[in-house]
Amino acid sequence: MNTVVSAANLSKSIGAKSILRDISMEVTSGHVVGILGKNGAGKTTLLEVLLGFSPPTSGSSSVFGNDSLRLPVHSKQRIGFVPQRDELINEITGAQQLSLIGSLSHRWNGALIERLVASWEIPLNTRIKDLSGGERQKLSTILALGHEPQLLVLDEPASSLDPIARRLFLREILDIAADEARTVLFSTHIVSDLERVANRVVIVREGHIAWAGELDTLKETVVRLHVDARHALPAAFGLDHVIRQQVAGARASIVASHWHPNLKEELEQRLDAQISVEQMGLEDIFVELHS
Amino acid sequence: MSGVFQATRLFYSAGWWRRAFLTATLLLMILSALIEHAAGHPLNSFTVWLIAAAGQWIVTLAGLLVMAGSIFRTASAPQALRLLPFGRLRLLLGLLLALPLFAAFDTVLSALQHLGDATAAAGWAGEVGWFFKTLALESLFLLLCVLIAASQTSLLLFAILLALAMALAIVFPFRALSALLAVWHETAALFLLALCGWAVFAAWYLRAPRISVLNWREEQQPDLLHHFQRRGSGAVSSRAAAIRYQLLGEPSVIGAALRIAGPIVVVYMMLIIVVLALYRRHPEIWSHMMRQWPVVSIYAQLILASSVCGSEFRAVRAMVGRSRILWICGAQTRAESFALCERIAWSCFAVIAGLVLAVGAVGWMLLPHRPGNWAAATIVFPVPAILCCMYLAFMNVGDRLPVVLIPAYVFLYAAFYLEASASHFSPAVAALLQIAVPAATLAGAACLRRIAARRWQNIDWLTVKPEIAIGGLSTRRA
Repeated sequence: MNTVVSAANLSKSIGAKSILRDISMEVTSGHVVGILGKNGAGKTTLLEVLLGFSPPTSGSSSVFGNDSLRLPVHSKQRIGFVPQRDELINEITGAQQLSLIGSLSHRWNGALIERLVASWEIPLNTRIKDLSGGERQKLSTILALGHEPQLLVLDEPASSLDPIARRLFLREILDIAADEARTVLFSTHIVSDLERVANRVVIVREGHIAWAGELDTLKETVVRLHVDARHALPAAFGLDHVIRQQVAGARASIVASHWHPNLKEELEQRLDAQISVEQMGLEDIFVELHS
Repeated sequence: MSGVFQATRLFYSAGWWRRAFLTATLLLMILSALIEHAAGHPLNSFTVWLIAAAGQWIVTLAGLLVMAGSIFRTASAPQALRLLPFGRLRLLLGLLLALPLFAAFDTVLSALQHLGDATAAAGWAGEVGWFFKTLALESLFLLLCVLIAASQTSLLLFAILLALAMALAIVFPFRALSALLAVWHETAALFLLALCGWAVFAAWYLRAPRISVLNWREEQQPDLLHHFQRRGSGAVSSRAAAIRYQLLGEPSVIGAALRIAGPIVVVYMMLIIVVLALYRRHPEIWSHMMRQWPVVSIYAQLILASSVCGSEFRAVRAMVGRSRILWICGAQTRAESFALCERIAWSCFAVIAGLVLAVGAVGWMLLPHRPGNWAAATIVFPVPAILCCMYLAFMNVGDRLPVVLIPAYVFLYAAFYLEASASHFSPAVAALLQIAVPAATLAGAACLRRIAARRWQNIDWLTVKPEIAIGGLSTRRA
C-alpha cells in the first residue's frame, strides 16, 4: 500500500489560537478514512493544511510524496476536493459551472458526470443561486469527481443532504472506494455516515488526534466494563487507558481504550470481581472520548 | 434612562486602540483648529500647517471609523436586540440621543474652525443650519444603513434622497419650516425628509415581531434593489476565459468592473448635480466655500480615489479567495496563479479607475474649484495610491488587515493633503512635492508588489475566504 497523504508533527495556529497540535498521521491508498470531530475541533483546518491551502505553523505534510505547499501539477491532477462551503458561482447555471471547471481540468469524464447528474437529480439549467443547499453540495461533489481523482477529499460532504440523498452519496463514495487505487479522505461529525463508509477513522479532539486506526479495531478496543465485586472497590484499579470510570461501593462502570480480552481474567482476579464487557457503538465511543 | 445611556455606550464602544485613537484625534483636532484660527487665513507657517493638516487627516479617519462602527452596530442591532427585553426601544432612543450629540460635536468643530469667518458662517445659515443639516444627513444615512445594511444600495439611495431634498426645496420653499429653524430651504427639506425617515423607521422597527428561535434563520435584511442586480452569463470559450471567469465570477472584466464601480459612478454623478443645483441658488457662499475648502478640487478627488482603492481592494481579495480552486484544479504553480490574478487585477484597475476618475474629472470641470493641476489631482496622485491598495490586497495579511489598511489610508490622505497644500510652500518646494510624493507612492507600490509575490508562495487561503458576489462597497460570503 502506498502512502497517499502523510503528516508529521503538524501544528497550526492563527494568531494566538492554536488550532492543530502535533498531528502525525498517514493515509494509504485504497482506504476510506473518516475524520471525526466536534464542530470547531480542527477538521477543516487539518484538511486544508494537508492539501496545501494553508501553511502549517510547524511540522510538514505531503500528498503523493510531494510537499503539500509545493504540489506539482501531476499530483494536483490526482486530487479532487469538495470544500465545506461551496465555491460555486451564483450567477451561472449548473451546466455552465460544470463546463467552467471542466475546461480548467486536464481530463473530464463526461459519461460519469451525466450519470451522477441524473442519479442525484440536479437541475443543470437552473441558476446556482436558485439551487437548494443540498443540490449545491451535490454539484460541488460532482465537480470534484469529474476528473476521476485518485484522492478525493471531502469536507463535511453530506451535512446539507437529506437522508435519501446521503445514502445515494455514500453509495457513490463506496463505489469510488471499491477501486483499489482510489483513496477517500472525508471529515464529518455525523457518526452514522462514517460508520457506513469508512474503514479507518481519525478522531480529532481540540486540535489533536485522540484516536486513529481501523474502525473495527476502535470498536473492539474501546469497551465499557461493568464490575461487580464482593467488597468495596478502590478508587483506582491500576488499569491503563481509562477514559471514564464511575465507582459506587462494590460496583463500577469503566470505559477504557486499548482493551484486550486477556486483560479480563487478570482484572477479575485482582479485584475479586465479576466483569462483563460491553462492546460500544461508534457514537458512544465518540461521546465517551469527548466526555 | 439608564437603558438609553447603555445603548449609547454600546453605540460608541470600541477596542482600546480605537478609543486611544479617538481621544488623540479629539485633542489634535481641537489643537489644530485653535492654531489654525490663531494663525489666521491663509496659513503661512509650515509647522502650523502640518499640525492643522494632521488634525484634518485624523478627523476624517476618526469620522470614518466612528461611522463604520455605528453602521455595523445599527445594522446588526435589529437582529440581535430583539432577543433582549426592550432592546429595540433602547437602541432607538440611544440612536436618537447619539445623533444630536454627534451633530452638536460636528457643529462645535465647524464653528471652531471658522471662528470669525463671516462668509463661511453664513454657509448653511450659520451654526444652527450646520447642526440641522448634519443631523438630517446623519439620520438619513444611518437609517438607510439600518434598513439595508452598509452596501452600495444604501449609498445610492442616500444620493437619491439628497437629490429629492434639493428638488423638494426648489418646488416647495418650506418657508415656515426654514423660518422656524432659521435655516436654508434645502436644510429644511433635508430635515423634513429625515423626520419622515425616522417615522418610517420607528414604525417598522417597533412593529417588527420579536424574533424566535424558529424564525431566526429566515430573518433576512431586506435588499430593496436586489431586482436590479446584473445577471451574468455566457459560455466559456477558452481556457483563458475560464480562468478569468473562475477568478472574477464574471465572464468579462468590464462586467465585473461595472458591477463594482457602477453604483459609485451613479452616486457621484448625482452628487455633482446636487452641488451644481446648490451652487446656482447660492453662488456667493458656494464660491467662497469652494475657494476656502478643497471640497471639490481635492477632497472629492480623495473620495473618488478612496472609492477606487476600496473597490479594487475588494475585487482583488475576492480573486485571491477564489484562486485556490484554480490552483488545485489547474496546471499553474503559485507564482503563475499570482501572475494570472495580477494581470486581471490590472485590467480591473484600468476599467474601474477609468470610470470613477472620469466622473471626478467631470466634477472638476463643472464645479468651481481652486486653481490647480487637473492631471495631478485626477491621475498622478491617485493612481500610485490605488496601486498600493491593490498590492496590499495581494499580501495575504488575513486577520491583520485593518492594521495594514489604516496606515495605507493615512498615507493616501497625507499624499493628497500635501498636494492640496502645495500653495503654502515656495514654488520650488511645491514643484518638488508634485514629483516626490507620487514617486514615493509608486516606489511603495513596487515594494508591496515584491512582498506580495513572496508571500504568495506560502499563501494561507484559510484566512482569505472565497467570496461569491462582488458588490460596489460590499462582498457577500457564500
